[in-house]
Amino acid sequence: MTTSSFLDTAVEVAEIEIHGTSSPVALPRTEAELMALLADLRRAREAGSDFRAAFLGRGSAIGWCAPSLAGSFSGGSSSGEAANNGRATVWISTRSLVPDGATGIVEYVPGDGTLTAQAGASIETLRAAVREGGHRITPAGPRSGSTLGGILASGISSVDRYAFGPARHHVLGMRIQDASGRGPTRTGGRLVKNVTGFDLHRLHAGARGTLGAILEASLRLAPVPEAEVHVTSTPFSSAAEATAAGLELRASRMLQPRALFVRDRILHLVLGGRARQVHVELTAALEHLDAAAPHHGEDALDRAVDAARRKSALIIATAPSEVMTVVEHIERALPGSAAGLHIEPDAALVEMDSEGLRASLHGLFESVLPALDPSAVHVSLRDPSADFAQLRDVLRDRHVAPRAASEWMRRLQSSFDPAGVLRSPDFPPQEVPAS
Amino acid sequence: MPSLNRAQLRELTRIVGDRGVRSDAGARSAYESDGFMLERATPEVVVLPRTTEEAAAAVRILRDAGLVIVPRGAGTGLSGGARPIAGGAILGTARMRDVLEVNETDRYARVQAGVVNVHLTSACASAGLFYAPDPSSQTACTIGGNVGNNSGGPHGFRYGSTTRHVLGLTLVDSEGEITRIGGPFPDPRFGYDLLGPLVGSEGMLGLVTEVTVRLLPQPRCVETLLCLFEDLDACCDAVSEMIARRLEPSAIEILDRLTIEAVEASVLRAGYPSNAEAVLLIEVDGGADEVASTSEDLIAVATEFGAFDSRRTTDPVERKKLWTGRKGAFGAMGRIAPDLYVADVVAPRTRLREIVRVAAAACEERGLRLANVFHAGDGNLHPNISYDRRNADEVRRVLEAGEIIMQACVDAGGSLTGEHGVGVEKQKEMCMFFNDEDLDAMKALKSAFDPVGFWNPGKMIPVRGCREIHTKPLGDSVGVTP
Repeated sequence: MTTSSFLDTAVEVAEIEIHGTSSPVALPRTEAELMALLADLRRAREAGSDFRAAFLGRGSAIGWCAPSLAGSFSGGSSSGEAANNGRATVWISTRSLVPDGATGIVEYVPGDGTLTAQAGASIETLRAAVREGGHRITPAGPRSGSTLGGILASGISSVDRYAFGPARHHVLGMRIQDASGRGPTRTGGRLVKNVTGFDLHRLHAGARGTLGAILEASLRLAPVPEAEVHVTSTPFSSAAEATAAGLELRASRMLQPRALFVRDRILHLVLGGRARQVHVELTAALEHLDAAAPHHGEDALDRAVDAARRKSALIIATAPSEVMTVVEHIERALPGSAAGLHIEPDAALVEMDSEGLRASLHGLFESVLPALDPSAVHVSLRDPSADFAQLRDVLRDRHVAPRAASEWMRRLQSSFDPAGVLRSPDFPPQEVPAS
Repeated sequence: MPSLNRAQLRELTRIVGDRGVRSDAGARSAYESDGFMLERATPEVVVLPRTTEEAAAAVRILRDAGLVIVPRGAGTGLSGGARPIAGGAILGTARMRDVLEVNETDRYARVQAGVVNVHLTSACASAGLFYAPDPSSQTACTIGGNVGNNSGGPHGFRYGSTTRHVLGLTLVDSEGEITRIGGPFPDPRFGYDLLGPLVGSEGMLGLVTEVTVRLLPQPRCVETLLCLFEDLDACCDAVSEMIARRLEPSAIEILDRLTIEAVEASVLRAGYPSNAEAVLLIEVDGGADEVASTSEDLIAVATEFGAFDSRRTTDPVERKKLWTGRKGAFGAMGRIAPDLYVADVVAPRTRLREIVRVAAAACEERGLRLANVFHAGDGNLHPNISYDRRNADEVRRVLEAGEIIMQACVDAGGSLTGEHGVGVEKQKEMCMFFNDEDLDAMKALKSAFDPVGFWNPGKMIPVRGCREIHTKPLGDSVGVTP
């Protein structure tokens, strides 16, 4: 089956390379085309066709955030037919909704610190535009190859969450095209403060397109600070030592970092704000850390984002007070694993890359997972590779969602997509009542 | 109309105790409205559980009796969201007042929904932490109520509204089932972010009984500024310029002359000057050098835009006095007239002056007294119109002015409400901001959590379609209960 084989709507279909494999992707050029395409797909589903549709921007985060889909690519399918539990996948990109040569910016109001842009807009273009007005988009990075809608739908945050919180906190409103048959709907607004109606945009942020396509989003922007500096420690002897130093700085409250994380046994700090304050905090930081020469300048945060850039395979989320325990377990059970570890003490995240995970899979099963209390430590797998199939099963059994929450999620999906056109989210297993 | 039979009433009393059930007419009348006094209806029964388990058991009985439920915190809301439409039960959290846990290391607190906002900040002060959302009613309003309305407050300018601070909550649904969502973990990692739409859902999706909130380290240095203007327009323009220059204080508030007079004539006298047409009350926090730099820049902008005097203080007693005046301003206006209509609208921050002028003209044309006190930094305006609810014509004029202000905000790219919620007050006006399809999507969310319409019916989402409402002339869509 090809993407266009059962469609009445004339939608451009292009072969796009995703993870090194060529796949057909529908590229609607107008919102009307997208609506018509979804109507076709709804009819096809009602007629019994077995497929699911999935939205993407440029596909840069497919492997990162959508294991059930990305599995088809690593399996070697060129048409996506093996995706989604054996069903065919109809890929739809929102990037062509931005006309050729256009930026996708609907409204940038420097005086209000807000940006509204089409979902298919390139994040690089948007960052450059708001930079001219002295603003930044949260999350910082990724800097290339992504669309605004893709970033928001994926729920990606960055190391600047230390100061600014997760990306979804900065979404002021959205326009959405769901699969119910109704036209585009609006939620929230373009204002920094607004409680008119339900915050449906918070539901779509991180929903990975399973409730509909984001057409447009409004963001609160952060000011570019007067001064900024990226500080890197010299390598500690272990990730645990670097983490302890980070936790100590966090607890001391003497700094107000924009970012604080450990990568490959090195502690990274980004200090930003008023120039006088940054100078004072940098002096204090250098008294506490054995550090390399700090990097000053407007690109300090970008450099930190680059240093943190990773393809996380395993994500361990816990409380800050548990981070040391988790890191020590990993280092004790998996000697040499520090090189693949990314640790954010305040966000209480420990992440391991695919290479590190592959090398330490046995130790993870034998020593690390049994030592981590499932009620206090949440472990999730992001790498769709077949190498980790057993781990995936083990992790699914570790965490269950409350029965009612699972039911609400299922009802939400059937409300916004009654015909089952869109792919299912990877809902966690449902809690079984005690009796 | 459905009601409880004797056996059900006995069972309710057995579960929540004698003090937890109010069924006599006198006690129930206290719950016929919240801070929005223009419309009233008496509940069939009021139930005040002490725990989540008691609340869940009460929900099952009320559901079996066929009663709909209106969740309620302290009843300080200003949009009519915490009052019944017709009968039904009030399920209040007033007796759920325990701070269950303050975790200093992980910087969170877990509280029962009825904990008063300011009590939470008091409870974590010794750990050097604070809870950021600080509505003006914070000495009375509850954390559960703040979750229901996604409440803000002056310091929301820097720290954001409630939604940015809720990490988890416990919800009792229409089956009487208890569900815990989120928790101290900072980021949900699978499924949908249910916390997002639950915060600000105005009690329409279930009863929130416990909340886990993020706490922040107390700032090392805090400075409060008071900038005096001879002209309200200039004061508004100064704020727009501060935003445009990307200055980052923690709060920017405007008080106009009438508000200043009311505060200074009350027991909350804050020492605001009598010779200013408007004042800017600003707070800056952070490291000492950051505070100093930002304060200097803010005062420079204020001076550039006509401030004839600017005062600075880091003295905690002075600062507290200035903020007590601001937060008590609504109460102080009781001296001006028996009733106060507190409008709550949002304008883009580049258009503050324009909307303030529309409000002034709308009130002047209708012979109404207007006082302004608002979160200027967020563009969240509170034009306060004094009136006497016994004067039906004055009530009509107040509502007419309120609608004109709302429409002006929407036309300027603003919205209907910044922190008070929609409730019944702005239910029909939702059609100024959303169309039928937008509202259908909201109904879909409501149905996913509450398929039978059990929770707080008749609020937020208009019953009639927008196309029908739009055919009505301006002013006719607001109903006034005689």
